[in-house]
Amino acid sequence: MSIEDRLAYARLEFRKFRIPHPHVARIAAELDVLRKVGQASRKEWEAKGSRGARIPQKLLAIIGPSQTGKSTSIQNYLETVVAAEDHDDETEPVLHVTMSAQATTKSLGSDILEAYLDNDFDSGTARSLLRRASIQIESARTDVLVLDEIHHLIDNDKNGTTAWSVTETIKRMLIRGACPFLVMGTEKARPLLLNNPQFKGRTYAPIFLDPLDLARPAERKTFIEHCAGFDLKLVEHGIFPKPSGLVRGEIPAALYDVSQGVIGTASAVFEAAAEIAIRGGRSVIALDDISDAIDDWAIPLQYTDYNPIAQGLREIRPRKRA
Amino acid sequence: MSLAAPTGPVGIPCGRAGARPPHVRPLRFSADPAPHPDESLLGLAARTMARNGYTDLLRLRRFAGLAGRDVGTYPALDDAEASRLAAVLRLPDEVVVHRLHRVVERADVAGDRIDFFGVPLRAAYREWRWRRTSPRALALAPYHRAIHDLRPFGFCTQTLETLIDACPVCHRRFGWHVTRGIAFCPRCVDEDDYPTVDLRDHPQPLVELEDPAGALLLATLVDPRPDVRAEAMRRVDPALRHETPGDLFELAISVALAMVTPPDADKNAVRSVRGDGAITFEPARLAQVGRMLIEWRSGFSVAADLMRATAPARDMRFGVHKEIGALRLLRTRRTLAPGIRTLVADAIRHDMRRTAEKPAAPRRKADRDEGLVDARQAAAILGVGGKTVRRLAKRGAIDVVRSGDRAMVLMRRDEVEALRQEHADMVDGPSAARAVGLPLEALEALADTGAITRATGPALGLVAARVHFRRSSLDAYVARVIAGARDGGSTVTYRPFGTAIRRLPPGDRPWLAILAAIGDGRLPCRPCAAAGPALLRLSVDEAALARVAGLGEAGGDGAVTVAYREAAILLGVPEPTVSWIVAAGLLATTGDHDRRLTRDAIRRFNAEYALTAEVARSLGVPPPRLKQVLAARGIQPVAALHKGMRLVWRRGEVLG
Repeated sequence: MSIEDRLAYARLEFRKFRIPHPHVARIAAELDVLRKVGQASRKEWEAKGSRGARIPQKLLAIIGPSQTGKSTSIQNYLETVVAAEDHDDETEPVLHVTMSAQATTKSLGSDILEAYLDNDFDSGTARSLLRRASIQIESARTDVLVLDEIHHLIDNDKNGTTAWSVTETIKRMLIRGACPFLVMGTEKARPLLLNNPQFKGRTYAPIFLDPLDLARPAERKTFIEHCAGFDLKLVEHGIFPKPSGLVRGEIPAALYDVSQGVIGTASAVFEAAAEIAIRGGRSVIALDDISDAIDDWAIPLQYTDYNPIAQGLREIRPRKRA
Repeated sequence: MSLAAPTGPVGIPCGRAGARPPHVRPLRFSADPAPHPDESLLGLAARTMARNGYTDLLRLRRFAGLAGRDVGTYPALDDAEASRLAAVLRLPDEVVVHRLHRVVERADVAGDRIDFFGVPLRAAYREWRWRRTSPRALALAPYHRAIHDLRPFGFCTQTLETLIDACPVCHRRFGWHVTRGIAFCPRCVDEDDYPTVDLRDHPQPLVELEDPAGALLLATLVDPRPDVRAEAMRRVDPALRHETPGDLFELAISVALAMVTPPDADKNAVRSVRGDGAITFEPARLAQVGRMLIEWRSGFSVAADLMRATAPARDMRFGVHKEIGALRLLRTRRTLAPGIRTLVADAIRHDMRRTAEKPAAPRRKADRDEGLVDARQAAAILGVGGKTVRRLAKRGAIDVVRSGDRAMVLMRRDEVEALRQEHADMVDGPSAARAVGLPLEALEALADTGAITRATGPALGLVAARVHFRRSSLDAYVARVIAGARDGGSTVTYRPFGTAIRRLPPGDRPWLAILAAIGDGRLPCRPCAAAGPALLRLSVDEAALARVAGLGEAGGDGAVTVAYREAAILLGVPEPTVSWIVAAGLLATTGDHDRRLTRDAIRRFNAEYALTAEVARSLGVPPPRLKQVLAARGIQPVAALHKGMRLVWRRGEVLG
């Protein structure tokens, strides 16, 4: 296998890494609960002949910075839990909708329809698209609808009118009770929950996925386990023949410094280091590979301005909790 | 029968020749639950579109590449279009094709026909524009029953609920272009475009069926499910069972149409199937025609009797149409299969016989009952005109079956036949006299004695002449007379019977005595070569005749008039001479217009005058010399008749 082939293979396999993580488990548990609510609600409605109003639903918000594993947790749930269930091709128990960057009420409907693989997802008015989306939630027997990247609503929304109308729309969809919603986004989405009192009233206790804090033993352990898990996945997926020892020495501490406790960022540095090792024809990731990855990837992309491996470890200050 | 594509029930061409194959875009969700066997294509499409959140069925045009197709023509798609539509709806092709209503070509019947789940039905019976539905049926299962599209049914055959085609709240009619779910009004929506009127919350009145089996038979005959149709056919009268369900349905609907045809409608037209609500029938009506299919003869009679109840309202005087109205037209209705038409004709004939004794209205023809004839047939049998028959009926000369307030009558065939035979045995007096060779007065005398029989009874109403005799009695009498005749041998002088009678002295002839003498042999006679009736072909002993005549009875009533021919016998002259005598003013007639002669006038003439033949015979002078002989005695004739060839003398001067 050539270097290029190995690189391509590695890049593909990185996307398949599913490293056990407390966030993943927690989100999966929350999804299970929400699904049971959705199923029970639908069952009750169907017992009435699928007629009349349904029980209004609520939403669960998960707020956290990028790379904290929100989307990955949903993907992991779809790949492990939902995929193991027996569903026909029209049933979508959990629909993962990634909202458009320029999100509007119309794009909300369009995004949902697109997630359902509707062949006419971008045709129609906002009202008709949202109505179709709501109907398809019923048709697909969706238990939970996950709206990812909800913070896109307030990107480029200087006066907040778009965000207001979209949250109002989501609220109306919840009132109609098709299914519970799970919305996910960065901390920029926090105003969405706070500025609309009616929307706020339809929200379960939000989950904030903050970066891991080394000052907390459990989170410190989680970070180290993530580093070890990545090392293990490299071998499991056949990228390297043997473990690279990514938890040895100062590597976890250096990665924590670079990633600020965001495991997605740590994984990205490891990926860059793995590519450097492959280009160098090595069978494991060397410490220098990690150092080069920080220099070539993390610093240019402004994740950090300091290479703790090359310049020496420094004191890590506790993170300010969100 | 063949399925023809690609024209639809409304004849709209479909498809574009040479167009690029359209791109098919399947819907995300298929119908749930799966298509019902009796679900219509449009209902299935609407249900599927609604499940995908679409409200506009025209979108299917874009998804399936049905350019130019209106929603109403979807059921007439060709194979390629149907296949594309099936792909869009995520269904097997056959599910769509099974629900198409393509044109069915039939050469033996008239009217556009479509394939309704394998049953050819007239296209006009299917409502394609408006959606008709039953809220109660939707509550049982929310899908559109194809049979609700059939206009003859105004109620749901599953729930017996009155069908609706408009929203009970906004009152706008349900079309097929917009849908918000088959159970909802497509027009009543809230601010988010969600339907607000669930039709299942608006149950409609149920219809009451006195004969559910009859009413529902029609529905089951055209049910989309073959097993249901087969079961329906098992309940059909055996006489109809060899027909197809579609033809039987057409029969039932045609009868129903005939029954609701207004009495004042064109008598050559059954009510049209066109128009809104034109062929939506009351449940009771459907029950009647359904029952008719179960019990053909009696059911048809029930329909006919119902039509008879409205006979007075039909603006005509008599006839089958007056009686059963537009039902009569079904015998020749081209939309009915030939076999069905024959069955109807038989049923009408049977029903007419059934009611022949007490018809609801006068009938033009009585052929419904072999024992009855109408006036025209009676006239044909009797060989007379219609007026004569009506006169007979009016006089009561023959029993008639009357009905209604008009003069149309029916008569018993056996009575008419008897009348005809009686009429055939009648001969009027002058004709009889000519045939026998005797004057009418002789026949009268014979009839008075009973030797022959005068015609009496209703048959006299058939003739104008006053005096008629039984031909049979006359023939029998003449035969008896001839048979009894005896030859007197060659020693006597024979003269032809007519001549001998004429040579008798003028005056009344004792006919009874003369004929009795011939019949018992007292008056010798023998056949002669003369032509004519039997008696005139006899020669009689003139001397014996004179004796018999001299012993004869006196003449009859003097006031009785006689014809010239009879007068000639009484005057003893040839018949033309009578005319000349009258013309000379020597013999008075009864009037200028009725130039008959009374017996008294003849007697007076005989008493006062004599003609040359008698005078010459009495004086023993040859006739040619008589004028000269009498002139020598100073006697001149009273008149010279016929250019002086016949002389009339005063009897007192010449015979003293």
